[in-house]
Amino acid sequence: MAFVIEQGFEDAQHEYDREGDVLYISFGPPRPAVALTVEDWLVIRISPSPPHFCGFTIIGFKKIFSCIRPDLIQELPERIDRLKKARLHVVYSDETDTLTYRFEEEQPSYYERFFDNIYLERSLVGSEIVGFKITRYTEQGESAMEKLLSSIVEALFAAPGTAPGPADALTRAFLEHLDIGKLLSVAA
Amino acid sequence: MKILTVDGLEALLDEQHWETHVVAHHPELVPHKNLVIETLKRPEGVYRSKRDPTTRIYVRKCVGTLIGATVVERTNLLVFVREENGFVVTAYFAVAMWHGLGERIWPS
Repeated sequence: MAFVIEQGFEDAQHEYDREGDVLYISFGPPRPAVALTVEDWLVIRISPSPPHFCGFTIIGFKKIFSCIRPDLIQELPERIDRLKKARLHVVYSDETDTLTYRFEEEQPSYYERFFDNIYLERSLVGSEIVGFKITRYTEQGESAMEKLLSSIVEALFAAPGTAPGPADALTRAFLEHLDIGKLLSVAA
Repeated sequence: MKILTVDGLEALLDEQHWETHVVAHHPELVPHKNLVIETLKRPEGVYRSKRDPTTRIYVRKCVGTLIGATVVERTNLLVFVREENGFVVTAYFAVAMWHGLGERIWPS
């Protein structure tokens, strides 16, 4: 069934639990939810009834990110403020069985294959990643989402000196927009 | 509250931390504190966190769990404990785990 998702994050709120080193981010007041676990430390929270993406939890936030992205710790309040202004735009087309995700305004762009049925959308000017699309979504959407999230996690934890590839560009693009949150909402 | 875990760790479930942080952000755990304690005592497995080996994760399968007003047929309860001092960091009910957990340390 075709659908369009437009979701704002203006009600994003966060709390860092210093004692437990856990970052809790929720969209609106915290509500009962189950978890989709990307890795044990990175949790997407979904409220089961009605289905709603309600936030995420990062366990060991400072311990993990101080090694890989200390800038994210320092810029956390600014990143959350930026997230509040962000909008999620996801379109699924029945005709093409394709899910398209964009985190920038529509602009002249082109697609390059990232992995099998996953394509990165890059702007014509500057070749910045502005979105992605997943084809054969009905059959392979879940595994494609897993691949995207896995690639981001692997890029975050790549050994120093590893040659940068498309996954690094994708990770950078998401982090620039605090887009883990937005990507996770697609997974929901 | 101190709980002797299945693998011999003395876990500390701090009442104030539980209320102000864990259930404040994961409110589905409000009626399940005993299940958290039970998971520490009798889990199906104990794992090291993949990215932070000093954190142990106690995992127990749950059937028919009340999450808010919904009964979720199958979940896994994951309870995170810091190894150095037994501090219970947080917990959640997982319905899907895309990446496996780290090394299993119990049963070995």
